[in-house]
Order: sequence, then C-alpha cells, then structure tokens
Amino acid sequence: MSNLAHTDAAAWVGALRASRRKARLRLVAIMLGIVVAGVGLTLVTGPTMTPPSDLLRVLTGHDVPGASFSILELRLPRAVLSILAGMSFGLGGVIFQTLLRNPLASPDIIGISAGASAAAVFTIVVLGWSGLAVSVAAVVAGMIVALLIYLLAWRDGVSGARLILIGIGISAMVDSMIAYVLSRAPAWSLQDALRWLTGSVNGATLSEAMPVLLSLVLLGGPLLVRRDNLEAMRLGDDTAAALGVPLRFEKLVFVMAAVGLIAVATAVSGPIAFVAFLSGPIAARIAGTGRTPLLASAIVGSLLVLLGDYAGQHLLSGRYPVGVVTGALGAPYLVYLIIRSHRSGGGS
Amino acid sequence: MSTLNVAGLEAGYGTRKILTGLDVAVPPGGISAIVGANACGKSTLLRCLSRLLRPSAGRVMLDGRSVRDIPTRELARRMGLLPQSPIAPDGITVADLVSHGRHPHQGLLSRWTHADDRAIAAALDATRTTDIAEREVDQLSGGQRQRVWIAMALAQETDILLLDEPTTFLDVAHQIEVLDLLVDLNQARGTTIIMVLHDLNLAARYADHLIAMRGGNVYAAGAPDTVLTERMVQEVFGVACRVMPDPTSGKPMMLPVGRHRASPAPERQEVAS
Repeated sequence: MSNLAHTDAAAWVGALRASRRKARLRLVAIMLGIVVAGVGLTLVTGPTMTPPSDLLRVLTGHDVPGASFSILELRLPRAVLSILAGMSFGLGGVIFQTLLRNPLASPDIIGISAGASAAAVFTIVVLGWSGLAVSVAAVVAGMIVALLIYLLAWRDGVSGARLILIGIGISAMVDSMIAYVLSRAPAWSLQDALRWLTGSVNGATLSEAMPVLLSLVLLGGPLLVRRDNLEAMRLGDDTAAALGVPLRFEKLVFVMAAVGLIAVATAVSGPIAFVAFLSGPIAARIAGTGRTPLLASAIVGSLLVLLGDYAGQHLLSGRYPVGVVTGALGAPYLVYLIIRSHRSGGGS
Repeated sequence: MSTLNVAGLEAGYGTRKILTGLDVAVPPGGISAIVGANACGKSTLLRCLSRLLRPSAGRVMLDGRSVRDIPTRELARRMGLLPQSPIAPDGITVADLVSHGRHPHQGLLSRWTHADDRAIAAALDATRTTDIAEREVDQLSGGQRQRVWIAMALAQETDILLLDEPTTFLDVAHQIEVLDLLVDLNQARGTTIIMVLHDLNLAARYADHLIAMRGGNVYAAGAPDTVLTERMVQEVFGVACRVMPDPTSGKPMMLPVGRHRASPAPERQEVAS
C-alpha cells in the first residue's frame, strides 16, 4: 500500500467521522427546535390562550397587561424547571443504564431518586430547611442509597440483576418512609404530597431552578467532556482497561455525577416518575445506539417533563402533576421490560 | 522493540491462588503462544501481563520497568489486549469501533488528528475491513468481527499485542485467516504477539515460541520443536499422542490417541500373529 493511498484512506476516515458528527448535530438541533416549540406552546397556553404576538412582546420586555404576570411569573419558571429537571433526569438515567448495561438500572427504579426525595421531604417538613441545604441533603442521601445498593449487591463482584432487585427493594422501603413523613405533616396538601412521591413542577420559581442549572453545568458538562471514557467502558471492563481507561476512577466519577444530577433535580421537582428510566431508551430509538445518546437523552428528558406537564395541566380532565403523566407512560414500559428480561432468562 | 519479562509471579482470585511463582521471558518481536489444559492459568497470566490483575507477588517488567509503575495511558500506548469476549455495543459501526483504539493517544481535550485517521485507515487496511467500515459490527460474521477487534487493537499502535484465544468460536477457515493476519502484523510492523491458543497444532505452526503451562506454572518454554513433544502433551494435557512433522510447515504436529478407534500398536500386532 503506497503512502498516497494511506493518505487518501485517512482523509476518508476523517470525512466519515465528520459526516456522522454532522448528522448527530443536525438531530440535536432538530430536537432542540422541538423543545423551543414546546416552550412556546406552554407559554401561550393558560385559562385563555395568549396570542403569540403578545408572547413576543412580553419576552422582549414590554409590559402586556393580563399576560406579563402569568407568562413571566408562572409559565416561564415552570417551563425552565421542566427543561432543566428533565435534562438532569435524562442524563443521569442514561449514564446508569449504560454503565450497568441494563435499562432497568435507572436511578428512579433502583431507589436513588427515592432516597433523594426522602431526604428532601424530611429536611423540608421535619427540619424546616430550604434551598441549597435541601439539595445538599438530597445529594448525600442519593449517594448513601447508591453505596448501600452497591454494598448489598456485592458478592464476588456486582451483578447487574442482583443490584437492580436490591435497588427495587430499597426503593419500596424509602417510598414508605416518604409516605410516613408526609402523613405526619397533616397541613400539607395532596399536591405537595404528590410532588415527593411522583414529582411535580407546580409553583416553580426561577430561583428554585438555579441549583438544577448549576448542577447541569458543573456535573453534566464534565461528563460530556469525558464521554470517550464512557464509550470505551461500553466495550467491557477488560477492553476499556487495555485502552488506558482508569476504570475505578472513571466509574466513580460517572456514578457520582449521575447521582448528583438526579438528586439535585429531585430536591426541587420531586422524583418525576420514570423520566430517567424512559429518556435513554427513547433517545436510543431516535439517535441509534452506536454511541451513548447523552445529549439526546437529556433533550428527551426535558421534552417528557415539559410536554407531560402540559398534558397534565391542559389536555386531561382535571389537573395532574407531571409525575402522574410520566408515571402512566413509564409503567407499561417497565412491565414490558420485566416480561422481556424474564423470558430471555435475565436472571443472571 | 519492547521486552516483556515475568519474575516470581503469583496471582489468583480471592484466596484461590492460580499462578505459583512463574518466570517467563517473552522474545521481543516474536510470536509467542501460551498453551495448556483448561484452568492451568493461561488467561490469568495474560491478565497479569496486561495489568488487568494485580499479582500477589512477583513482577511483570516492560523494558526493565515494572508495569505497576507505568501510567495507565502510557501502558495502553505500548501494550494492547484483545480479551476473550469483548462487547460490541449495539449499532456501533466498524469505523467507530476501530476508532476506540486511538483512546490512549488522545487527551481529554485534544481532538482527532491526522495521525489518528492514518492509524485507523492503516488498521482497517491491514485487517481488510476497509470495505465494511461503515457497517454495523453486530451484523458481521464471527470471522469479520474478530478482524474488526484486531483492527481496533492495531489502531492502538502498540509494540506488544496480547490476545486471549483469538480463534475461539471461529470455524477453521476463519481461524487460519486470523492467525495469518497476526503473522502479517508481526512481519510488517514487528509487533510482539503473545496469545493464548487452544489448538496445539496451530500454536506450533504459527508461533515462534511456545509457553506450555501446567498447574499455574511454566512446564516448558521454547521453540515449538523442543516444546511440543509426546511427553509434554502427556504431562500437560494428560493425553497420549503421536507427534510428527506437519507436512505443510515442517513444524511438529500432534495427534491425540484416545481409548477408542486407535489401531492396535505394531508391537501388539506381532504378539497376536
């Protein structure tokens, strides 16, 4: 093979990669466009529809009587929190599912979201905390649950199936603790209780959404930068180690960041049911599985929360928190996955 | 050319010790095949060489330096490993899988360079996988898939390549194809190849250096002519055999003798008649 042929082939390899990258970027751009459209829809929808021209005037800083308050104070913060929380759940979920090679290994199935939620509800209801302190407590509780599951699942190494079963058990335990704390706080409304059990973006404010934005930037950003390590780990532990990935360190970084993303979002919106669980598989359908669909999962997560909340508020009879809607979407998929893994003898 | 030496190696899993004070020197620039019965420690030795397993005693030395002291990425630029059952993610294309071989050459923030593309193109070319570069790995045949994994290891551009049973699950045509490919690499790039092989005859034909293991230690090591003997096969594998020259390569070749279907030994025929 001559040098020239190799140079041509190298250029071809580079062009191949560039074209796939371009296709991925195009997909992300399209999905972001849908998010923007979804935000527009939620901003104009209320008891009465706001004309798009009024929406534009409000967003460009004009005061429109009757529209400014509901858009800027009610609908926009709600949309912002929906997007940020959805991104956190989507990203955290797909990282767990990828590392453990199992769609059931999502943080909302194995009790990590529930742990964060329990810490949030306990510190708010019993200790009277708020803001950043609640987020910190939720992150710590999420880590503790993750560690607990890991230790309980350890027997000459950790098998995915054992870890998932133990996680489901812990999740049920923690959920009952949440129910207990809520039952001791009789002044709370059903809406508040539902927030900590299935998740809700009711009454969101922009200052509430700040910690979620911060954790997305501080935890999600570094994950995207080191995503090559995640891709290498998908080839199996031995292959990844042979490729020079420091396995123990990288796994710890990815798991801690994913737990952090999930826990911070949960501390604000509650564990919005099944968003973490659904986002990865849906994103994989859209973007393919050749590469972990990190960005696509984050965007799918934000769409699930945004549109799930929209459906719960405006499309269904009566008003439901977003978690009820996403829960209704996720439950059949969960049953389907369990039936399928049972049929293929997924016991090991 | 890198030299790889092992001294006093002891290793195992949990309390179960598998390697018992093993010494071995791998000839640089050659093809070495590790052979032995099941559970004799072949894969364990390979895992220690590639630092996947931490020995409880002894050392693995790469160019006179303990592999423990070499940073992970640097080691991955000098020594590649193809495990027995690597996992191809669903839907990954051949080109993307092979690109992973460049991982140790890239920093967190440094992006693809022309050198990366050249290495990938050369790896595809050497393994004759250029034509299938855009296909998905899970749609390939077993032989093609193994060539793709070897291409990934080649893109890593290491002096030493370790392979754990690279021909398992392949039919005979693909076994020969993979081994021929490894010889090509060894000759074209001077890559030192160390592989665990099940098939003694293929090991003797394709390797310059045989390492026969028994009970977690080296039973014999050297050129196939000296290592592959009837006595070695009896003591290492516990099976009687005949060793004769391979008519195609002149290397030793063994035929196992079982309890059935063996024609009576000539001496006994004489007694009977």
